[in-house]
Amino acid sequence: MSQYLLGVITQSLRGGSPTQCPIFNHAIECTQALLESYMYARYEFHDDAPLNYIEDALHRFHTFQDVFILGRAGKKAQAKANPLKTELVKKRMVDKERNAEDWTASKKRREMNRWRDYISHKIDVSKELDANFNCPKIHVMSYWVEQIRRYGALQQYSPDRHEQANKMNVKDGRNAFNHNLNYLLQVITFLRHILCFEVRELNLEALAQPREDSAAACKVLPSGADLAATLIPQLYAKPEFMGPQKPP
Amino acid sequence: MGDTLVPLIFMSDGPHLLKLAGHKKEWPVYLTIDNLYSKIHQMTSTHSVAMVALVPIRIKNDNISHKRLDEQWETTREVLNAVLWLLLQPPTFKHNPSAESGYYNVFCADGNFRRCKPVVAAWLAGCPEDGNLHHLERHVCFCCECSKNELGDHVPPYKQHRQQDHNLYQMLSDANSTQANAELSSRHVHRGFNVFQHIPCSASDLAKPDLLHTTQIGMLDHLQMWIFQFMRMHKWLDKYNAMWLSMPTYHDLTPKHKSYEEVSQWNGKEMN
Repeated sequence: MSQYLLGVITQSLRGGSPTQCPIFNHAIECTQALLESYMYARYEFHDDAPLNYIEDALHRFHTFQDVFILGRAGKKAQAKANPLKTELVKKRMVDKERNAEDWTASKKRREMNRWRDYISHKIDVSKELDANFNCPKIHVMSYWVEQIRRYGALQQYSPDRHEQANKMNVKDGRNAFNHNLNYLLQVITFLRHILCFEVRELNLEALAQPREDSAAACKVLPSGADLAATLIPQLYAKPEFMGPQKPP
Repeated sequence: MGDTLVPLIFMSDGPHLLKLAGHKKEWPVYLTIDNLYSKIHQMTSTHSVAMVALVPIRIKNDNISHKRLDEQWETTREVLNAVLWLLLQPPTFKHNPSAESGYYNVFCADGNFRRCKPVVAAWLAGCPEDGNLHHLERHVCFCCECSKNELGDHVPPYKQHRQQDHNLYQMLSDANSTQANAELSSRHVHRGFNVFQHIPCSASDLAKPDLLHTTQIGMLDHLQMWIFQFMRMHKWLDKYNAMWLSMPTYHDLTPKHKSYEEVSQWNGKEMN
């Protein structure tokens, strides 16, 4: 979506009236700035140039963000606008009853349309007054540059890995049994009985390979040891392993 | 013989177990270490990520009173901290002096024993979970003391906010006087025991900004909603929808059959 959103907006906002044109341009600028900063933050390698681009894009985003203020109006703003709406609807009813005899059908329709537009405009204005951009997610974006400078590319902290682990550990464990209610026990049993064996198998496979091969050594997983240690905390200091042992 | 530093990376996110077990929510904590080769890290079949705790947490319920809700939050926080305290005992050598001040003999992948020192390096979690972990109020930044009214402002690099000082929070929380409580609430921090104040790490550096949650399904989703409202206000929605639906198919771009308001749930590929 981030790839074509800007194109869609630029195309669809063409041909506005002279009063709308500056607002539309601001909307395009704001979208572009946000998408740009996101694209730069996804780089796998960074130097000063992309980091400066991120800073610049975020600055532009914060300059133009006010065009989208209506989108930030939440439930509170809606609740505040509700009494205003009731009041305006009452006014419309009074107006309708007073002039009902004078108006023709077409005039009545026109007047009602005018009222509808007027009410929605008033509510939008009231919502805009209550809305603000105070959201932690917007604030976190200002940390990107500093974090990249200190710890490297952001892609490495991607939570994809544990989203995937959720599926393997929790959901497969839960689906492997018939009982519905006691699912916590099921998940833990699954973890201890089935996943432990898989980890152990991988460990043994890796240990069977010659030691000098450093690339193969990389493939061995210490997670089996971690897993056993967390299950039996007393053994953490002096783990007993079945594999080939060598004194330190 | 040298020592090996083992940076521990904890990860947590709450999945819903809606399908079978009713409306329940779990909060699993996963652990991985940073010494692994990146290809191994990314592969699920290698079991590089191990689950170390499974904490049941309260589910959203709007039908109960505010006071009860606050109590529930407090209980959740207490349970969470108690579990994490058990979990994080090994790296806290201050309270575990028998373990040679944090060093362990670990049987490593190449068949040798190494003297390892585990250090908590990062804790990857979503925005609300970070607040829970660090005992913060809701809708507060988890690494700096930015006031709630300034969250939306632009922060230039030369004007960063003060970082959170967990040692100070611990002192104030232990003092338990009226003044200390007022000070804590002015910094949007809850009173009570927090694990991160007791383990040797800088707690405000633990949380990392993750692109998936904050931006991909956070900001871009917001942006789409903002644009929708913007178009609605300026009566430009028809043109926008027509343009949206006329996007051609290309490589990994899926063709669009629905406009923004008709789509009930966005999947990850579409947001990418």
